[in-house]
Amino acid sequence: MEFVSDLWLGASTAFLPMNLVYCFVGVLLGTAIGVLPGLGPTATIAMLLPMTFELQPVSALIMLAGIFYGAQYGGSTTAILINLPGESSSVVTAIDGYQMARKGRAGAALATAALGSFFAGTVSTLLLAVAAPPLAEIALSFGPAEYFSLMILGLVASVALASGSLLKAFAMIVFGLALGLVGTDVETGAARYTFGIPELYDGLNFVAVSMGIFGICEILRNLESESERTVGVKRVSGLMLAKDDLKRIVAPVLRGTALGSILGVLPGGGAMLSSFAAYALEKRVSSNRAEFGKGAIEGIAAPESANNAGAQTSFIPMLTLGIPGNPVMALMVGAMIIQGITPGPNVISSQPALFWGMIVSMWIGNLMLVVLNLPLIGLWVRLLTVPYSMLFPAIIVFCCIGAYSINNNIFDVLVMAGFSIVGFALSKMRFEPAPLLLGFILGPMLEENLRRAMLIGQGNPSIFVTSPLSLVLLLIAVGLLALVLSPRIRKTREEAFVE
Amino acid sequence: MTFKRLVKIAGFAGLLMGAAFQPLSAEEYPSKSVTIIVPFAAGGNTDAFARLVGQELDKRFGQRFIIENKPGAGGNVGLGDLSRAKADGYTLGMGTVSSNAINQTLYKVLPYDKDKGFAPVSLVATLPNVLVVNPKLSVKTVPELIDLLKKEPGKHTYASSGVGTSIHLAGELFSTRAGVKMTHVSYKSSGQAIMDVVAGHVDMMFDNIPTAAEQVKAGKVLSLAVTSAGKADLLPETPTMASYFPGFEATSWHGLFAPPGTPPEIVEKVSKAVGEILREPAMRQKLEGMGAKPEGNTPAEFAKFIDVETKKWAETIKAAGVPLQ
Amino acid sequence: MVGIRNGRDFVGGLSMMVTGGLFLWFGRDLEVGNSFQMGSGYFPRLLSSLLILIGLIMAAKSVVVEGDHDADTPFNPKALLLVIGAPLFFAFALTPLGLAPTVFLVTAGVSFASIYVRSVRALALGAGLALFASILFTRLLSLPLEVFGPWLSF
Repeated sequence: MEFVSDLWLGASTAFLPMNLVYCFVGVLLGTAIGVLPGLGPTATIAMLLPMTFELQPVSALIMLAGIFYGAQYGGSTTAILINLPGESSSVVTAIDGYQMARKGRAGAALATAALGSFFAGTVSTLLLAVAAPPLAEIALSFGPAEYFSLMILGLVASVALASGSLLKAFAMIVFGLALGLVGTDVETGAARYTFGIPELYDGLNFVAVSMGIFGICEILRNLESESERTVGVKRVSGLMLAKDDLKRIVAPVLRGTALGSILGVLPGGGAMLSSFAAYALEKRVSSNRAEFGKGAIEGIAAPESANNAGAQTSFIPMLTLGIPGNPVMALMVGAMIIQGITPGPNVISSQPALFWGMIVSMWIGNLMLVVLNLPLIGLWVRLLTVPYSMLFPAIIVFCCIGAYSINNNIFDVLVMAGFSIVGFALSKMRFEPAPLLLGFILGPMLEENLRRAMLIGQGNPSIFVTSPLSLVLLLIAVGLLALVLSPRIRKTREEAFVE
Repeated sequence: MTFKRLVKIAGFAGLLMGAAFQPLSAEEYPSKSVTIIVPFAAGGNTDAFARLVGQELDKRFGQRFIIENKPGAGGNVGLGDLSRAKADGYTLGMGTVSSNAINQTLYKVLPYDKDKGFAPVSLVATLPNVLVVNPKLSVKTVPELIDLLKKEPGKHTYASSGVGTSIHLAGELFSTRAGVKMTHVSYKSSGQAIMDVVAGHVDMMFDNIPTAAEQVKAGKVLSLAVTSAGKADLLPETPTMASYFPGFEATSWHGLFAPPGTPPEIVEKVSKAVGEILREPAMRQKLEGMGAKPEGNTPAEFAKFIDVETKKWAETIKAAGVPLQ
Repeated sequence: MVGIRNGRDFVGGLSMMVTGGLFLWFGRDLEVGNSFQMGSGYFPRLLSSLLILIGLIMAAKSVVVEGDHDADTPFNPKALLLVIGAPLFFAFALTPLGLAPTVFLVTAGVSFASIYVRSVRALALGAGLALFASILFTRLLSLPLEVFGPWLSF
């Protein structure tokens, strides 16, 4: 009955009125700031970090965790409403979410995101409570070779993000991979495509690129067709989910939760992959395949669940091993060190109140998030009824400030402007931006892990097939590639026949 | 606090005379808020040190000391801004061993005048690195490790948080001094790097002490030596690398700088205040809890220290053949 | 000469080839190494070549296979110029003018990209957003920005 007493300890910490308040404040601030374009979880936490210095360690961490998933949820909101993914994991949410919003179903899309996230958060928090240490072992078993194979699998899956031509999707992935090259080469330290600009040494910033290619570019497209369509979005109908919708999202939410929980544990970009993977999987197995890319509710339910499940389980490496898996966790570790707690493998036994308190508060935070956001949906949706001629200048201004706030540098604003031109040109040629962004995210990880694996293996590539885990991942990738290619080939043949 | 009031009176008096006198005199400094540029992201060690010291400077001078994070290019972006700021003491900046002693050699082009450099104010804190190895390597001491590396040159790997970081160059310095060959595996962050050492994908690493010490205490990795001149409080059992190689020192240090040409009286004034802050028991306890050693010195001492460090790392970079960026 | 059946894809393929070529050209000094000892130029070379190849296939295909005939939206140079120009103006005006005047000018200016713009509304929106942004970002979120920059302070 140790588990029950542990949970009791956690509950008695998390339910302290003070901690409940900090949890709520964190979730509220996170959501409020996260909905501003360009301010994703990392930026939001970094901005609010100093506020927590004066708090008790447990309260500080509870509040930071609240900010984290609040901001993540806020990011999905902008992705759905104005096609502006504020972070990598909401890129796929934007694909079908924004299409739903344009059809006047923004309310249903947001409700799906909220409910899916809550369900996923509940399951993965429970998972965290019962199985954190064994799950941490999975994280340790992933070395460079395994990550490389996982990235290959991710790339193959990303082809599924595109709804149009396969060749064009490939072109966009490769273009994205190439853009990921910009910056200092991690293994040798050589500067690549930096043109002597110091700001480029750390590479192009994802948020700036994504705001340009998605958000600003979307405004351009809307303004071009302004005369035909008086408002950007048709009048909204039905804020909540219909019975039929609920039936459609159950299975995707379950699959997304499972996928996200597992991938989230992997610190080298697993959480990032989870929403892409969930979308790709759904597109394969769903009976509404044809609707994907045109506003399929499954295309929101699965990635949003995966994303939130991954967000919870991404705490596992930090809480059990003391190792931050992503920039957000690194910020958390920084906050803990300032508080005088250095996270390490002993943190569960040496700080049980902190560990269990955080786990229980995660669930409370998720509950608060859904309670807070379901009523807010009406407000967000009403935002879309504001005349577009007033909405778009505001979006542009917030994008500019958001881009600036990434590094407190105007350079990222220029990057955003540049990529809005690139995005506009690409959309004129009917290239889709989502595969490009995925390539951009995966590229550096793919290259680093490949070269790292070769270094460790003394230049012997057999490492990728002698590791069982890596071999399995590669085999799945090959199988998936065959699956992706075969029906397309058949389809083009059929089309050619018709002509 | 009487000192604070004194400063306020001085500031008020200065305001009254402001019309007639140059506003740059040290007595009335600071008469408005001061910005401290941190050339790294929020949440890291440098940021934490800046915030801790900045908070105390706030109280001491009765003016706000605002932290501005300006990350990029290993600190070069933020320092470029610092060098272009008005040299009136109202813009200060944090610098580290990498941004102010290693980058000078590592980068072919810097966004500021390398020769003019900066006006050093005071060293704030140092963090020692510790050499940790995965237990699978079955070495327990530095001599055992050297034997193994000599037997199998180039076969063993060490991780770092990036080319040219103090963590990487500590490894290079060790290879040079011990006359061994290891393969360098670079990561984007020290978190990713230590993860692969704990998991056994990479054999060893020189890591910053606070996080590494926890892994040592849990038995996930073995600590062989610390790279500071004296033993580290967090790992009292671990010998120093200097006991094997006299003079071996590779710490990650963090200090306060002003733009070049800042009036020496103002630099002196800030430096004195920082020194006093770092001698306060509460501050010492806070920094030591983070595994850091509170420092504090005069501008002249700090300048000399930087000089020695810059030369040492220039030699290491050349000896190791690290390609310049 | 054979006619091009899908002009859009032909241009698309061509631009991918040009992009690949640019990556190849600007990465020409990077060390390539070999498959076992990859240098910093190995991946750039590989990806640029791949991009050129894909572009080539696309262009070739566009000559043979007919494309979709969805009509393009009419080109709107005024909107394009204003919307792309807004962030550029923002970037260069932020430091000298400060946040409030920059936000006001960007908002009011970019409003004219819409055909439904009304001057009074644009100005009011600009003023409102300037006030809102100044309070939110400098006071509440304490971004290191000045409300009024050095060009406007006395």
